[in-house]
Amino acid sequence: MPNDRRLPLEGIRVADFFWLIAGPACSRVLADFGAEVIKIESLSRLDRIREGGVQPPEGAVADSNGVFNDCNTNKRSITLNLNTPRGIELAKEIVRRSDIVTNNFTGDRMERWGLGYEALRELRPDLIMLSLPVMGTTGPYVRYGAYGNGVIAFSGLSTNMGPPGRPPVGIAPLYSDFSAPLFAAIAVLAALHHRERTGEGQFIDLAQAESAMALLGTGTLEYTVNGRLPPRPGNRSRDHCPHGAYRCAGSDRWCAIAVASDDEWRRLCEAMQRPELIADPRFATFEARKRHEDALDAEIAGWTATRDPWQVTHVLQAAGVAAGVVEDLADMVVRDPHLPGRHLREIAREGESVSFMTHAQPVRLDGESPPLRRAPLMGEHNEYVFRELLGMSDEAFVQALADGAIY
Amino acid sequence: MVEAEPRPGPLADVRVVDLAGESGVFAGRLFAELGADVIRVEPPGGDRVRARRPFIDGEPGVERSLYHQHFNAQKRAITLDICRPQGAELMRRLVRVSDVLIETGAPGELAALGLGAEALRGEQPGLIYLSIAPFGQTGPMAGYRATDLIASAMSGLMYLNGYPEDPPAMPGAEQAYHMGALAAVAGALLALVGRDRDAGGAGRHVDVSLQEAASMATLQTANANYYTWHREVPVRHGLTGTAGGRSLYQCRDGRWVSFVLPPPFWDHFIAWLDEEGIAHELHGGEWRELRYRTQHAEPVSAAVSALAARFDRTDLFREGQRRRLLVMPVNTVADLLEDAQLRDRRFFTAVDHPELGRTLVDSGVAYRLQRTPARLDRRAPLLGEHNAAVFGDLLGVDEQQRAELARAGVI
Repeated sequence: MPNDRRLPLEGIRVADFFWLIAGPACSRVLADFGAEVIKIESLSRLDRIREGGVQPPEGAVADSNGVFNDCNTNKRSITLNLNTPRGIELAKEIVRRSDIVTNNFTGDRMERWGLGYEALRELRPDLIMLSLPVMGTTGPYVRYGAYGNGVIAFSGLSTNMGPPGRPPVGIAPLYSDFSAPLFAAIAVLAALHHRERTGEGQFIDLAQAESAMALLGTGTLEYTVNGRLPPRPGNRSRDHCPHGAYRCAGSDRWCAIAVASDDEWRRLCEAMQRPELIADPRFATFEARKRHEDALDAEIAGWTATRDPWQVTHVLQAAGVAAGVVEDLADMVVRDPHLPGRHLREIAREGESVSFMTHAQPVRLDGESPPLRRAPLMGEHNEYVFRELLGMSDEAFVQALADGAIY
Repeated sequence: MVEAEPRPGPLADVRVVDLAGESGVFAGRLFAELGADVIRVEPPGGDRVRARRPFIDGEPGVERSLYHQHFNAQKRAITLDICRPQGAELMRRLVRVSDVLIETGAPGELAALGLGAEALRGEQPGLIYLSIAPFGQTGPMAGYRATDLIASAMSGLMYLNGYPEDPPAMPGAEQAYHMGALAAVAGALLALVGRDRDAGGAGRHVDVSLQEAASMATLQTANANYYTWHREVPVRHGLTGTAGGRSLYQCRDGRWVSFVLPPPFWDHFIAWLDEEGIAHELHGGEWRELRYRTQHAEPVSAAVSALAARFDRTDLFREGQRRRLLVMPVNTVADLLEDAQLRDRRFFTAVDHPELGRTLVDSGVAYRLQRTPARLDRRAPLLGEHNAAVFGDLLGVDEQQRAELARAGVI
């Protein structure tokens, strides 16, 4: 179906006070799907993700952290000094022209600037405002902070994974920094739907830690209903057997295999050219396989050990068995048949030799992935926002620069 | 203040047909929490979700799966054999009065039953047809199978977890399924808002890949540019955190905390060490530089270890946060149920299940929409519980016709 429709959020404007990762990853969803997201930045409170991280081999050029550039596609950036009265006034002028205001500050930072929800709704009654602090906007921990690894630790996700008896290191990649923004996007979009129907805006309080606890699956019920904390599962499953990562040929190479039924088990045995295992009473039923899982895993690992993990994947998938390489970054960027080019895309920056490998959205609308425009340089859109959008005169703009309200 | 009539959720005018299997069952839950009328369609006899462990008291039964109780809470449920022509026809009638359809079949599977995106959007142009598949609807691996484990593995999310001497560790509680459902609901709501704002009011086909959705979580730790620029492949580090230094420490009571030193508050940490009389070599100005600390992580880890060993977990957490250091306890669910913050915010929900004679206490909703709250206050539906309401009241199939359909095994 040809897709010449406009993006769903075209015409929606976001005054975006997010910084670091979890926030910007949320407003990126809105920006990629057509919203005009104005990233309001401060030199006195620099978005630290602009610096450090992963930098090009020729050395850092302006704002060249790969992580920043992946979290901020399709946005505009302005630099506003919110510690000046004129800066606050200008922020309010932007809010007056915006549908959505976002922030992920801890505590009452926005209120102290005079930019809390109660103040801003006076300017824009149908405003949707999202606060995304670690612990939420109320309660005894309201000032507590964490990065993604702390949120994961707090949420209970770390203690229901990993091998039993090992310290609970949890999910390494600051996981909640990428789950919380999706919860936040869902909340904002649901509120936007309500506003489209009724004209009512509202305030949304989203605690990153609580959103991570909404990812515990049956973890909470198992304790409250059955009265026990489930044992840490390692790579095993209560509903699949075999189920795990099996060592393959090469250094630290693994293939994951999951079998859900006796039929899939037969197909796995045939694909491994071990038909005698089908008749082996130790493995004939799910219950039997669970009882002999160590022996079963040894049989499979014996087969995978001499094979390339991609070869294992393709052979087993051809046989109808769920299997896949435990992909490292080289797999994702180079060897995976799907991700390079389709999901991981290169965005060039005009006039510079550097280009950024960036995730596309994992969502396609009518077969199309939204276009990716590079992340903005700091203050790149000051002229557009202050002159065109707010309609400031030359004199007023120059004065605001001279006053240090605009950096 | 107790409100007599709870305010409807933001999606109170939205009806969702939920055909999802395990890989997408969370998506319908998110819609239902936000007030949508989510109708789960199961084959007569029930679907695989009801067979997933754990069961209440370990005893199997179609109403006893906690997986079903958790992921289908707040939904309605009907039984319908959509593989039969009469069943497919009823499905088309249901779609005509619905806004969203969620499916997790292999690409092309529903189209073969006449229930593909094109056919159903012909019936209902406003329909948002949400497809969640391991590798999306198109591409070289579109036909490949995956469970959560396989999607976690192929997204790059699994490789980074655990200890270098162990196999990569699967994230707990099916995180690839969760990331897929989150991206899917965000995508469907984008389509819904687009429908609200477009004159034509047309829906869209929303195509979500579990592999791509879960891979978003690797965006920092395994940022693709580590490889494209430097040929670096980030590996798993065990106790060492991802931000250069170690982040997991054991306290006096044997329990664990995540302990991160945020760059602006280094001095707070040094002051705390000094107050505790812990000997260290971190006074020099070079230690104030994050880059230097990252390159010389061991003395910092040693100092944090010494500090952690002096306190019980809760005390280290509270005192560390008071000093603006990012200390977090590594909680179990048992800890969370007692947690002061979560109690203050009434995070957990309790829902009665009279047929099972249980009250189900579960994690609450992730967000608080002040005017249109999301809520969890209805237990998961019994098998076919809403057949009469949906086929009868909604679709106008009378009692006699329903009895015939039941005899034929369609419902």
